Amino acid sequence: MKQKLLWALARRHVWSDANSTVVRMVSALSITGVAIGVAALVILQAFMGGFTEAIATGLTAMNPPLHIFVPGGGQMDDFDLGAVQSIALGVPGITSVVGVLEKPAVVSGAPGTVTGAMVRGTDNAVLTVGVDLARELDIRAGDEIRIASTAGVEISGMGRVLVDTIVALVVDSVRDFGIEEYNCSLIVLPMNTARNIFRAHGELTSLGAYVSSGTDPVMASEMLNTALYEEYVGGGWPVYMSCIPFLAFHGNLFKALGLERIAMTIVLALITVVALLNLSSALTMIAMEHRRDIGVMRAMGLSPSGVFRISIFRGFLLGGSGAVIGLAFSWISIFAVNRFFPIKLDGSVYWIDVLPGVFPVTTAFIVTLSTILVCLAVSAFPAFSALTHSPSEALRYE
Amino acid sequence: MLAASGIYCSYGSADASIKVLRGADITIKVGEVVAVTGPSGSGKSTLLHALGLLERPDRGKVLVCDEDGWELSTRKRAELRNRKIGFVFQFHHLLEEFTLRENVMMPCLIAGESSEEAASKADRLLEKVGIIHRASHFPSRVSGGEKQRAAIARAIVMKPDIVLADEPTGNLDADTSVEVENLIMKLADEGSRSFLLATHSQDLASAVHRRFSLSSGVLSEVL
Repeated sequence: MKQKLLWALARRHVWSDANSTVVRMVSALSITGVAIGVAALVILQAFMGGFTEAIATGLTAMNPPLHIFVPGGGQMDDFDLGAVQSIALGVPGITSVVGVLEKPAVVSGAPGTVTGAMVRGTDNAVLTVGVDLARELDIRAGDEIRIASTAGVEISGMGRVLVDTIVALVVDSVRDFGIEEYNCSLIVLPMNTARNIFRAHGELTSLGAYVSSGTDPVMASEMLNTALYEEYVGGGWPVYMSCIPFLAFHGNLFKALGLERIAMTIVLALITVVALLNLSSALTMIAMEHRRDIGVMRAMGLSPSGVFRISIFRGFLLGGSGAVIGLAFSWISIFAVNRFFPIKLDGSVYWIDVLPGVFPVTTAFIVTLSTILVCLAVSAFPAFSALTHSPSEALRYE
Repeated sequence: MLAASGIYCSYGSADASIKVLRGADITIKVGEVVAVTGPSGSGKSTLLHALGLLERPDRGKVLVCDEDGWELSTRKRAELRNRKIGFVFQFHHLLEEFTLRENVMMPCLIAGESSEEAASKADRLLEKVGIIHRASHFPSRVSGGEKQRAAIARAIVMKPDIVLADEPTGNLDADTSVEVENLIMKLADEGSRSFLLATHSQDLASAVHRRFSLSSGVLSEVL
């Protein structure tokens, strides 16, 4: 009952119809300030995180998470694939290894259309064309395209081209790969078809390894690298190979995004700090406004710990309300933007067409919890201040 | 019931202190109504606060129902105030955010009683002081006399052994003062409860059992 009474006192001190307009306005402004601070932080994290995640997902959707290659651009072949498979499958978390043959080519679709493209051959693939490339070539699934490559050209002793490779193929599907760069230029097709186009029988440009869900690609790549190095030093085979996580190719991009995210988080955290300073002054004002009441309560037998708790509860009510409102507002904003007001991006610049907002559950929890904790800390000052005054002093205060 | 001896109180720093009480002695028996008179600033409120365990005196002892109030822990002292002492202030000092009923319930809630029990006690007392029809009103919506009646009800809701009233009619007009004085004397006549009234009102002072005068920090009984 007593605890309930203290909550009731704190609640009516910060918000009651009988409060002065000034107190209610100060409380409302404090709650709004904290709500804006929390919402700004959560929304920032939602869109920065959503952007990074969308790019990472788009990149990894079209590429195995681990990239194995010969440093310096050396060629690989099916023998290397078999050898690496035997080692990689012994590394915890790695589930399979595939060969990749990827080279540039010239492609044409509807009459009068021709452009450059990156042709990637891999096992178990069907002929798939990026959605923007398909638009440029004016083709759909079922249409025919022609791919020409200079990689297979043979030149006679007289300098004359003896064989040029132009292959006509039927498109199985047109797909949005998620990344503008892939949509504009990528064609994926079966390994055998790729080898025919490039006249590269048995040849591979790189290997890719897949990992089970929950496996950290960075950790797996380090372990595979060690295994490959030991095999090379031990004389197992003469080719030195290296393995890196695919996203490491775009490491600078992700580092830049991370840096930008930190900088913006600091700026928005300062907004929250300002809101908390405002809350602090509001709590001090509310405490002064109710100083006499506290004296009366002490005269009626309220203990000093009760006085302290009322003050802390006031901070919790203002800060907690602000944090919860900010959290709710951020969730609604993210939902509304995703659903009704998508933020369009220039895909040629940002790789993705729409900025996705992903509600950051963990971050939101941390932001809310830390805001409430700071609010409690901020309310400690008026709480201790209330304890230093004797009831008599508070009663004389007018 | 209430006994104080050698109470010294002063304000300010050591080199510029104002001595408000200089060795006040007072004893109030069960059911006794005592008045303290004196000019403004003579230290009546300070005396009441010291006797009511709200302000620690520089020296002296305050016994409330045979317990040395200033020797108790802060928590025990708060409990003693809650159960044994009731306060009525000059400016009613009702909590503005709570209705009159809730104000009267407050000491019971602080004591840990259920809200139903507290509300029932509050309503009985509001009925007794004649403002039950104002029970659900906030203090800002009632008259000064009604506020002071509610403050008196709040002071006696825990059935304290002694009620300390600091100029209970000091802020009221003449007619309302008479009403409140009559109410206090009616409650005092009920028996087991003692009253110590700090007042300027000669009418009120002349109606009590004993009367003290406070002047220049010295408390003396008017015989």
